[in-house]
Amino acid sequence: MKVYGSTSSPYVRKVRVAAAELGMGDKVPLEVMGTAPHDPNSDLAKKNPGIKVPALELDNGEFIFDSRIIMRYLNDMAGGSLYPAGDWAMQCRESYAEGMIDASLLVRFETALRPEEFRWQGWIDGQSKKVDNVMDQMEQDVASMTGVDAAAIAFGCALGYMDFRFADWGWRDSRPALAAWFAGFSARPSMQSTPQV
Amino acid sequence: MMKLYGGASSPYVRKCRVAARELGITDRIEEAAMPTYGVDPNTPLAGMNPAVRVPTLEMDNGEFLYDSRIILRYLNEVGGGNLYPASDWAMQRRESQAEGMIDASLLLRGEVTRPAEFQYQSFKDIQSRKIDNALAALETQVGDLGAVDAAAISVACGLGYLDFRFDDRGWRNNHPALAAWFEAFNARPSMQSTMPG
Repeated sequence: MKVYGSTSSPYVRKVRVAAAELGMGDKVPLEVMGTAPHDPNSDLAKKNPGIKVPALELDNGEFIFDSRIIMRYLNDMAGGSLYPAGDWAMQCRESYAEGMIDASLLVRFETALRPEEFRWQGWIDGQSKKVDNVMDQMEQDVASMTGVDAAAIAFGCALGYMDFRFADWGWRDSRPALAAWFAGFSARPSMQSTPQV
Repeated sequence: MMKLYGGASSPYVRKCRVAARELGITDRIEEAAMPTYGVDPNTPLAGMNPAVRVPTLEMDNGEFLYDSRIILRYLNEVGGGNLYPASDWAMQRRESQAEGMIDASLLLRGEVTRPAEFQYQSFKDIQSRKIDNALAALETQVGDLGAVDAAAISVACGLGYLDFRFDDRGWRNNHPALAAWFEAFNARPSMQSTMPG
């Protein structure tokens, strides 16, 4: 098996962190797709239109995506506990963390990849507010998060992306519990071995 | 009584509404409109779902559930359905491909409804290509689309959204197998009673 993706994507990192936490890191090496993973001219995309990155290629040549499905698959294979049965609240935390990642990616695209004359500040403000809204909820929810599950991994990758692309955001300022939680989570080998570059 | 928040024009809300009808549990769900907010996340929705997105489901115990995939899994459990056959990773991947098409469609819709001076052609082209890539991939998998599962519902809602917002793309022209499949699925009462508008 291998995972296709970039080293800068928070979604790719989710999968890599999950694999490491499940003790499968060496079974799921990363095949770096370069800086434009959605390049339609890449061989991978040509053979698999509609492929999303991260994508897990199985030994039989089939592809699995997106990141949530890959994580469930790896969890299933490893007999892990990333998705405790019936824990809807945990799944919602994973979901809202992904909502934060989506919003931060949109801000990133708007500010770094869109020519200045086409940037809409109202849009940037709206998406930024969503990012802050989610982090405020995370500040409340980390009190009850003690282990490693899919939500914790999503939180870690979402916050890591903030440090990576939005170092000036100052997300820790009014969120001491979240900052403390992240300090602990990001020290884990699974996070240390998957820095975003 | 559960409450499903979201409007009739959202393809993700429609996924949930179609699922509820297919599962035969509409009598347990009140469908409540939620005003669209554009880029302003300061709506009642922000207190229900930190990522400020529809659909959001209010469960009988007053807690909130999101996103559409999680809501579908929950409704499937409540309704004793078979929308998510165990270990059917390929089906889940197809659901993800359909969602990729929906995501690109929503981003394209968002872009073309921006103030004209903030519209960026390259962004439109990227999303348009993603839609076409997803359609190409789904065209080859029509034979795998189960009668009614999460993937089938997602594909149908995605195609319905293209008809609703991007009728001039003429997606049927190059995707005859998908068009034939959709003609049959779209005739289902669950689809006919949830037409976007």
